Amino acid sequence: METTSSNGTASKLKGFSRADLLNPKLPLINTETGKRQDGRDINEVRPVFVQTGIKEESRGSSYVEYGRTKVICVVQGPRDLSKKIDFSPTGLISVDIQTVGGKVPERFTTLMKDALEAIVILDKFPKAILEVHLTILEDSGSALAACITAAGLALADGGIPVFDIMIGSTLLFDGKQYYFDPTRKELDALDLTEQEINDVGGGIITLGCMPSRDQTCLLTFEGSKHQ
Amino acid sequence: MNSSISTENKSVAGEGIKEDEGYEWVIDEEEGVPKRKKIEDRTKVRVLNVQANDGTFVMPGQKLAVANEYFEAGEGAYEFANVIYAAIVGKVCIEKFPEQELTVVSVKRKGKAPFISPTIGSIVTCTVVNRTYGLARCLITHVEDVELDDTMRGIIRREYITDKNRDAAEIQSSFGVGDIILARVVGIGEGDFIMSTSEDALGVASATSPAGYQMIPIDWTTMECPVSKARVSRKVAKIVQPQILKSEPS
Repeated sequence: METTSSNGTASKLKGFSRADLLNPKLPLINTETGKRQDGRDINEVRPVFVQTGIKEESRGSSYVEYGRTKVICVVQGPRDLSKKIDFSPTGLISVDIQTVGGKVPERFTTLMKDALEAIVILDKFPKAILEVHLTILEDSGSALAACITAAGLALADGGIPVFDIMIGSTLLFDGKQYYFDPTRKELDALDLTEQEINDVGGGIITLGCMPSRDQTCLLTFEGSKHQ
Repeated sequence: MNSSISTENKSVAGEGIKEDEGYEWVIDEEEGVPKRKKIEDRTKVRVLNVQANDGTFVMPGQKLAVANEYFEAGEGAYEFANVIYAAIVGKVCIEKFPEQELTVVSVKRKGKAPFISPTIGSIVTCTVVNRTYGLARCLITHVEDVELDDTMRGIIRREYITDKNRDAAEIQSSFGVGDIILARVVGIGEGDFIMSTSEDALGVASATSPAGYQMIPIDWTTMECPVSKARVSRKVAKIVQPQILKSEPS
C-alpha cells in the first residue's frame, strides 16, 4: 500500500525537482493572515539569544542566536606581530570566519575587518595583533548581522577598549516592501537576477550600528533599487 | 533654561537655518521641539559634571563626564569632543588629585586581567635571550604587574643601558643571557620595541650564576653567586631584593 501511494504522489508532482518540493517558493507574505510565512510582522525581528563568556580560556567569547542562525565568536590576543607582516604603529585586527560544511564569501571577512577597525581603539596596543575567530554554526539568514553582534559582544566581554558595542541587522527589499531580519527561506525566495531582469529592484541591506554614539560602522548593499 | 531664545533669530525650517556661532539646536525634552540653546564652553567647566557616579556599572560608549584640562580619562575610558566615554564594561572609578587640580575618571573591571600591551612609557619585565656587541634582545613577559598572553620582542641598545658614563657601558658587562630585567619602553621600533634601563630602579632584577644559583647583588654593578662566590658585572636594578627581606636582623 505504502509503495503505491508514494508512487502516486511522485507521478502527480512530475516536473518538480526535489529541492522545489522540500522548499517551495512561497510568497513572502501569507495572503490569509497578512503576516510573513513564519508568523511575524514585517517590522518584527526573530527571537534573539545572547550569551558571553562561553569559552573560558580565551580573552573574550560570545554566542548569538538570531532565530535559527547561530554564531560563536572568540577573541584572542594581543599577540606579537610576526616578522612577515609589515610594521604598523597601531594595532592590527585579523578576522577569520568559518562555517559548517561550506565556504564563507571573502567579502564577509573584509567587511567584518572594516567594522572592527572602526570600533576598536587601536592606539592602545601598538605593534600587536588581535585575533577574532567567528564560527557560523547554522546560517538561517542574516548571518553577517549575527557575526557583527557576536564580535561586538566578545570584545566587550574581553575588556578590550572599544568606542562602542556594535549591533548588526539585515533588511530585505523585494521591490515593494521592506522586511526586517529575513530568514534563509525569504532570502532564497527573492531571486535577485530575476528581479533585475524584470526591472523591479530589490536587495539586501546589512547595517552595523553603534547605538550609544549614534554612528555606523558597517553598511553594505546587495541588489538594486529602482524608483 | 530656554530664556536665551529671541524671536528675531527664530527661523523657520523652510527658510534655511543660519548657523550662528555659540548656539546649537537642541530638542527640548519637555516639549519635544527643537530649541536654540547657547553652547556651553566645556573647556572652562570646573565642577565635575558626572553622569555616572563612583561605582556605577557602565557599558562601552556611555557618557561619563565633561573632559577638559581639569578632568581626564583614565584607564578604560577615552575622550572624544570634550566628553569622557567608557571604553570597557565595568564600574566607574573617580580619583581626585587636589594638588594638580585634576580628576581622573576611569573604568575598572573585577575578575578578569585588564587588557594591556606595551606602549611608550610603560615599565616591562623581560628575559634576555641573545646579546651582541651593540644590543641585547629580550622577550617581554609582563607589562607592569600584568602577564601578557604572548611574549613580545624588544631590544636594549648599548647607549640606553645607563645615563651615567653611557659611553663606557657595554652589553657584555651589563646583561647576561637568561637574566630577568626591568626596563622602560622608550620607542616603537620597526621590528621590536626599543627599551631603556637608564634609571636607578631599572636593570637586572634576577640572575642565575653559571653554577645554577640565584645571584645576590653586592653593589650596583656586581653580583655574586652565594655558593661558588663567582662575581660577574651586571647593571643591577635598585630594588629591594628578596634576600635582604629574609635576612633582616630581628
